[in-house]
Amino acid sequence: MTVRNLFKRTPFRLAATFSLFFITTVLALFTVIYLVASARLVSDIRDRVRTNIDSLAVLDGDRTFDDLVTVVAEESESVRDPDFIVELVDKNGKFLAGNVRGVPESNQWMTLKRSSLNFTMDRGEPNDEFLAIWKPLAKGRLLVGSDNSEVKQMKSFLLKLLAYGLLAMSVPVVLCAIYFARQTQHRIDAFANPLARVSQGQIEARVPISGLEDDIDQLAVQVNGMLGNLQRLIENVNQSSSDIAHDLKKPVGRLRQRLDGARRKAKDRAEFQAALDEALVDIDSITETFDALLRITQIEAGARKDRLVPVDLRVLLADVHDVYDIVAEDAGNKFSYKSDVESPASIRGDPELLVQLFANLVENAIRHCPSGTQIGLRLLESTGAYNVHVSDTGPGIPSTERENVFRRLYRLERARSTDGSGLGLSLVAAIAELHGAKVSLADNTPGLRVEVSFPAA
Amino acid sequence: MRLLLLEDDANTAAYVSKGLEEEGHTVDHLADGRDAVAKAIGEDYDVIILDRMLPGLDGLAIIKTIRSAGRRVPVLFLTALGGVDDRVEGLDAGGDDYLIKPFAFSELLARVNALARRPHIKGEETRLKVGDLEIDLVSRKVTRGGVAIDLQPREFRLLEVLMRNRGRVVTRTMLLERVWSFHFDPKTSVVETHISRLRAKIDKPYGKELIHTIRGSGYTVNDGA
Repeated sequence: MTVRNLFKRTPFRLAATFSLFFITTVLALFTVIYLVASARLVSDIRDRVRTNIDSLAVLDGDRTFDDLVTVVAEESESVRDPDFIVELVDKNGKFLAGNVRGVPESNQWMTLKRSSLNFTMDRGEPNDEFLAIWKPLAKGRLLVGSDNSEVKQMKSFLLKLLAYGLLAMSVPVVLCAIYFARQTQHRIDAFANPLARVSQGQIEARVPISGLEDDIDQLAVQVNGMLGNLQRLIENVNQSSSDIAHDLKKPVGRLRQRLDGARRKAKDRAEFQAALDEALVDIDSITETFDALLRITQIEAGARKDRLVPVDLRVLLADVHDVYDIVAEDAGNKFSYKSDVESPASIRGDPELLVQLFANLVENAIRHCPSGTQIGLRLLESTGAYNVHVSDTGPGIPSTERENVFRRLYRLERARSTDGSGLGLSLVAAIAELHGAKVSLADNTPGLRVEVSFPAA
Repeated sequence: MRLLLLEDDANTAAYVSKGLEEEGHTVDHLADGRDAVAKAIGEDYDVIILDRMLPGLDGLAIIKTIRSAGRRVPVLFLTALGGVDDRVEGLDAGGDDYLIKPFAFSELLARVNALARRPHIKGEETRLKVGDLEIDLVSRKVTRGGVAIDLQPREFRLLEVLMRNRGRVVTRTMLLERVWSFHFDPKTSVVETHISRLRAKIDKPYGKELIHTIRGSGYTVNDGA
């Protein structure tokens, strides 16, 4: 892996950034310590030099000046390899005493290299430096300087401390960063690999859950949920396609037989006419299946959502009852409507689709129940919802089949003899979904009760 | 009648034109939307039949243009299967009736006939009469041979739709739409049941049938003279 690629990995980038930030902070901290400590040392040395120079300057005066020359001369001679320098000159700059001579005049602090000085005695270690200053006197001037090797030692000590400290701290920080980066990288890879398989068509692949219940796990749960939904949708689509093909094969086959039969056997115009009429009925039923499928798709796509208007369910259900009362009666059934709601049962809805929804449920009851069945339409109110029950005392639907009947083109075994597309309840479900309503099937003991629960407007 | 047919599918157009011409109508056929507007506005047609989807100019835009030019000519538009929204949009744009493809020719014919303006009508009719059957749309009273007949509101509405189209065929689908606002095909015999109840009240006791079933098409009210 190239460095460029490495930086495209988020965990590595984060770890590198973090390490760099940490090291920079430590470096800044050490720099401050270094600067403060060395400034402090320098000022200590200057204080010492000043004390020294002041104690000598006491001898400055007409009567004692000769004593000062003697003291300076004695001090200069007493020490080999001196850690201080001293020079006394008269008003004309003529050398009087000291262990160095000819130091240039200045009224500021000077840092003088031992090698650049003109020693009268021993010169000592050539790498040292002195921190020195001139003090003007009544009869001349006096220079005192002190070795500043302490500062140098302190500086080198601090630098070493910085180097070792940085190293000591950086190693665990970098190791830690690498560890977390690798850890996170592993989890990301564990995420990415199944998704790559999904995009290659293995929809059943799932992201592993680490069990840490952290944000990545939450993400994994969401992604798995999404993949599950996707898989179900794809299976539905596949299922529907094969169902549609299957469902159409029968009527198309029947149509073919009819036309073929008419071509071979029909003797006169009337017989041809009859065969053609039957063929048209077959074609209409095929068209109807397509229409229902397209309608369901459109309704599910939510195209009509912006057409919802306030609808009073009491009135709408009374209308449905009005239409089907005598239809049920002619089929030998009793159809009743009862509303437990006194005031308008107002929901936001598409009246046309709602009529279709309830017509569908009532027609199912009429068509699939034997004569003598009681069919009931009832409106109830619960908190924040209106519930519509369409019940019958017919054969009902076994509880194991109740989920299946909402599937497109699904038909109960005993319903296969009656005509119908097997799309009625799918359409009901789609219309309910558009209205945010829930549809459930319950046992009416005996019979079936379909419950549709609408959120109140 | 003079009819304008706007349809880009050559097969459908030929089938519709031929059928309507056999019924004695004159049909002008155009396939492009832009040519259609000028012709629809410039000439006098009894009914315009137009496909919702046309090359050049969309069917909705054509209806709107015709209406904004002040032409009240009845428009029947054809929509694709499953187009739940097309109907509402078409009617909103100023269309008078719609038909979903594929359709039976008898359905198209019945709707074209129902849409055509009848020249002798002056203003809104309030009393409709067929034979000795009379209905008053204002007082909502029905009499046959001078005897008052009591109808439920829905039965009255059913009879009203049939009477407004007296002498012409009203299809089952047209009744479902106009009487019950059903825009889907019920699986039970809703229309047949209600027609039979209506017949029991206005035909049976009087010996002479005024409501006739036209096989494969629908129903019509006439005195059968």
